[in-house]
Amino acid sequence: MTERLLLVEDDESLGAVLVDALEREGYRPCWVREGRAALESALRDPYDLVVLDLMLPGMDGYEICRRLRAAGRDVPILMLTARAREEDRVMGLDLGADDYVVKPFSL
Amino acid sequence: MEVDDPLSARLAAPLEAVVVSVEREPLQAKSLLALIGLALGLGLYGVGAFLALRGWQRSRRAARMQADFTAAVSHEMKTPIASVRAMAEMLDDGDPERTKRYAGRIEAEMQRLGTTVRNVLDASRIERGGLPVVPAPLEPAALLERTLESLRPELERRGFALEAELVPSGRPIPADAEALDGVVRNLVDNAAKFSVETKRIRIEALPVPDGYRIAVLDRGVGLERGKHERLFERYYRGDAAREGAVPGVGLGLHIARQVIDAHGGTLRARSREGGGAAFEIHLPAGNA
Repeated sequence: MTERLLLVEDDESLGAVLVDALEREGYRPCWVREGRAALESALRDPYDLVVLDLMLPGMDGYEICRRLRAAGRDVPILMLTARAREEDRVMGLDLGADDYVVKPFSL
Repeated sequence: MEVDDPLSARLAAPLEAVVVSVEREPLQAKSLLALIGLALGLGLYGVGAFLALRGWQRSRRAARMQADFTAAVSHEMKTPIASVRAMAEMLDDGDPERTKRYAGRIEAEMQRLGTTVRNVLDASRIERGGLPVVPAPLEPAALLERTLESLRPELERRGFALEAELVPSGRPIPADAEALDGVVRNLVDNAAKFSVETKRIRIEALPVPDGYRIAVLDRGVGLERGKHERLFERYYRGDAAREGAVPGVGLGLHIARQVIDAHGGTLRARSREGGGAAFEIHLPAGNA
């Protein structure tokens, strides 16, 4: 069974290449570029994984993560960010993210 | 006056004495002077406290802007690197359609990275005592034509209409070609970043009696009321930029202002009737 994945990324180039890479790996990614729309989609549709950028228009990745967990959703969340500082990482994990990838990363 | 505890009583007694004596005797010149002195003293104290508070607020604001700037530079540099690196990894299967698509994106991402690096370097030069601006007589309309044509393909790919009305100066205007090209790029880039719904950017350039005027006009989110001048501060990013996660580090307009100042010209921002922003450059004719 193909895994359904929600990709939340506002950068056009990065989003496009991540969609290509995820499809090549056999996932079915749904790409959302804006924070509020991403939260709505994550609350409405069943996903096997959420890949979440931190800096987003509308609502940031931390807030989406916090609200998903507050709503009792236990879907695995992978955070994607340019910030590598330890406290950012800890904050993300405290809010309920499962793992953290710092840009630039290897596919 | 009702007094219960001894401390209040001790404080109240002399106060009452003063009140009583003021009520009994007419104000004399001496006490009037004392009152004026007291008022002045309190006034000065107030001004001092106000200045100290404002200084503290400013340094806090500066520290926050510096931290936001570091985060923004990190984001603006790492995101294109992440994209290009990921695209390079995806090119290994030699899919011709994908290769073609990525070629355009890689070029655009490298341009974006180049702009960020150039802006950070320019800002650091400004801080250390000045951007080297060497004006030489040129025809600004011809320069604008070249700059805009190089920006057009990428803007059109992103769905923008770029309109230009360029009236030649007729007489040479002293300007640093490379620096002025950078300013126009920054202004057009800025206009594009803040145009979400109506993607129309218009450049109007024409000679004026004392020089040459260039305006970059958009129909974007517009300017925050009362903050037009803050846009040119180093690291400043408006609410729209931060809340909308608009790419940028808060240097483009700062550098543009410094470059135009170095030409002896002016760069100003204003709101447009019907929405959007206008950035207007005035370059003086000089003695050339």
